[in-house]
Amino acid sequence: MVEIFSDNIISPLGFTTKENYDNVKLSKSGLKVKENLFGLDGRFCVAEIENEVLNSEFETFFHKNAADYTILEKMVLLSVGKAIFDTDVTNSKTAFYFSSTKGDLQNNLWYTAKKISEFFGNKNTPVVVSNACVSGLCAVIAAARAINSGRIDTAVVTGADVLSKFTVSGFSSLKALSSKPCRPFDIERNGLNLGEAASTIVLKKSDKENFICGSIRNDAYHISSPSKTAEGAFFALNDVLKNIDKNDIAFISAHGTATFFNDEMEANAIFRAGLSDIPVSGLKGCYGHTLGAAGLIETVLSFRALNEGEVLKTHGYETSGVSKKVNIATENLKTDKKYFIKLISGFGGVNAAAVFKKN
Amino acid sequence: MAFIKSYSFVNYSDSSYGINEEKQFLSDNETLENNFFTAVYRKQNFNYPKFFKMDSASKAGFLCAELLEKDFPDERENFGVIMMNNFSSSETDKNFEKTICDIENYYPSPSIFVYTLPNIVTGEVCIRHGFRGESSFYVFEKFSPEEFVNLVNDSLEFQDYVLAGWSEMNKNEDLKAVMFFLGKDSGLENFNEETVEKIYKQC
Repeated sequence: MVEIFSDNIISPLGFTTKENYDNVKLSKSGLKVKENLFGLDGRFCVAEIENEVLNSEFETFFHKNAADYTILEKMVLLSVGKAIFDTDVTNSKTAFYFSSTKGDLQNNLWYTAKKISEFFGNKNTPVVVSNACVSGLCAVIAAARAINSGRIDTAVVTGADVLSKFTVSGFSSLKALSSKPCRPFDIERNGLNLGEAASTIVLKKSDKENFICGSIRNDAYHISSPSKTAEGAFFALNDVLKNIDKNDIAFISAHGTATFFNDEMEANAIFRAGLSDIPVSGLKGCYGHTLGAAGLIETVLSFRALNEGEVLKTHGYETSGVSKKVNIATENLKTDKKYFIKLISGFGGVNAAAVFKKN
Repeated sequence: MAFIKSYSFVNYSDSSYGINEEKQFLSDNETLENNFFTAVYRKQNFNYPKFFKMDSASKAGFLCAELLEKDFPDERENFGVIMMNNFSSSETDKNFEKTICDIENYYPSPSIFVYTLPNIVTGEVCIRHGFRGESSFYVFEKFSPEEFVNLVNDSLEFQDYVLAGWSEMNKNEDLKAVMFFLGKDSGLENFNEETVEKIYKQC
């Protein structure tokens, strides 16, 4: 069985899980409107980590020169460093999993992953998961499988993506960006915001079971547009529901990017799976879309919420703008139920769902 | 227990491709007019116009899957595609960079941008063949039979069939891709580190 032993988030809303959680609970958002971002015309609404704050935190924590590392490396190293604290990660039964779509845009993903695992003295080959926006949750699923197989007993699952001219230009060319703070599932939604963050989850083999199951499914429909019938997301939900009683689900942590097609598809999947009454929590209104980190951040905050008996509201949502009935959380709620489902989708037609259980 | 039911490969460096032990080489004539991947597509009389908009990494994966297609079962709901490489999407990243580096000549292309995710090839294969199982993508410094077999076996536990592919780019930026069609009932050989390594070296 697999336990969530510890975790961390490095984001514009803080450098610890607690700080992030408290800020989200207070409805704070890291999103800001910027002009002249990377020298590009127009207004972009993004969640950016302040470089000076990151550098000073990095140097204080590691006593190393911040100038020797890329921004992404600093974010990830700090996130892993804070998540592992006194866990020994140098033994042969510990492996690193790194989830990212673009890495630091200077080095190959495997190079960055190796630099991270070697920094902490781990000698195993790091596993890089690059499965579009689903990467973070896929990395958790892959690591949990490795633990359940007996090959390893500890997995350091870390993921990050940074804001860059590359991703801003790309998503902009797809007309997927909103120049205002995003509105997941709302009638007024008009696109996503990009954000940057790193997040880490340490998974351990244990008698305590926090990770129940996960499923990854392809739509087999289109490489950059989700299935109209939510095929992959519905199948993934259906797979994980075989292992739990629906009445025990506290909430669904949705992908909720606030693009027209994603939110419509997700609502359809939730409806088809018979989960229309279960509260839906979406966090993109606080962090934007952090790509390879999204699945991890949203799992970490949802896990904390579950343990505190709470459902975090979907920031930016007011009036339903999806065609199927879904119960979007409009305020922070209390819950005494024991599971949450993380749902996520990405380019390449890939979808994933996983069930986590409270301590 | 998993079995290799069949396998395929395309190798840019020596213009070879094949299924199982049958290896053929394209002549210089055949690769003169079209690039190697397009030449394979033509020679095999494949018919899938979307092929031409794909990047090289997706073309290589697409061709490998297409070569194995005759063996695929009709039931494809639990058919997964697990692929890995050593270059992520570096070639397409460079092409996209060209469209955004000069602010005076800034024309980011959405059709190029989509291919700057390495997992797009798995999506292309799933769309082409109607696979609705797991699609996953991993990146490693070099081919590791151990990691390959472990990750694929972990996934196969939840699937009936898996297409498992490795592709790599050498120093000349030539692509080679090898793909295994795996099942649980029977096959040419057992799916394990030794058989995978042996086949990888032959291709």
